[in-house]
Amino acid sequence: MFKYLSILILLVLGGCASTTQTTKIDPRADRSAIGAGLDSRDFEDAASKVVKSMLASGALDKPAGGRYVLVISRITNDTMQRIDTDQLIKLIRVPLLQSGKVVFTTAIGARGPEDSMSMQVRDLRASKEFNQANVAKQGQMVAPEMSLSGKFLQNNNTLGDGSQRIDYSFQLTLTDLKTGLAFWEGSEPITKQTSGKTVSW
Amino acid sequence: MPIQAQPPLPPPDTRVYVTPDAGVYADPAILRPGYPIQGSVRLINPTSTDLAIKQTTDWFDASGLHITTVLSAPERMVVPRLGDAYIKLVAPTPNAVQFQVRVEPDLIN
Repeated sequence: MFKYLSILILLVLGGCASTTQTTKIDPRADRSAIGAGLDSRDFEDAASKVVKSMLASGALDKPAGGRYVLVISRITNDTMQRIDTDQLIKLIRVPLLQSGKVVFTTAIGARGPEDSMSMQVRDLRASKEFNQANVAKQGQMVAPEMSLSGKFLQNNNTLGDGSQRIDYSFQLTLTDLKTGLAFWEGSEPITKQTSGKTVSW
Repeated sequence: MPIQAQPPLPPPDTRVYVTPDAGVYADPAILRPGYPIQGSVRLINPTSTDLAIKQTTDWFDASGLHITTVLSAPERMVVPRLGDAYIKLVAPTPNAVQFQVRVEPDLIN
């Protein structure tokens, strides 16, 4: 009896299984439907536009040549979604680094060092187990000259026809740390219209 | 009064490829040299409906090797009816000297 019941349960569960086949999506030919929330396409699009704006502005052109040292400051998520801001910031850091105009420090950050190893290796100065040739000396770290801070915003509005308009905005500011002046600012809107019943978180 | 002949159309810019089903046409790219190479491509919609398109700009170095960059991520745009829209070009690296723009209909918008 128990054996037949188990088979029956398996058959019912099998029948409930989705028939949608899992496929791999190539970002270059991504024709999957758009949702009300933010996905990697929105992040890449926003990142691409702010980086183009920053490079085109000339704010990263060092007058004496060379590269600016940048630090990532606070990036606030003020949307209704759980967004890993590091994911978006990485999409900005990589092309900025590729541009040859900046380098980033990971030794400090708004929430502590991104990579604490830069400080930890300095503890090896006292160790006789380590050849001191590779141990960082005092005064070798390079302090940042500019910081990148930002905010992710969301505004929902119900339209006259009952549909919903969702305005996301990704705002970035590049601040000169010596003077505290903002050398460049950018705001990239991502606007979506969807059913009034759709939730965006 | 003699009818004046229309000036000949400029030769198509081979760096800008518009698929036949996109419904828009493109002016030749306008470029500003230096680094980063900057420029724009004007897309024109001669129809009376807004057209959703997707543009992708690939960059190449002097030897023709493709440069992988977030700046080549597909960009979705709408070219308004009887209006125009601009594709912004910014070279991602000092080595990026050639580009290829592809404009196609945005099938999911």
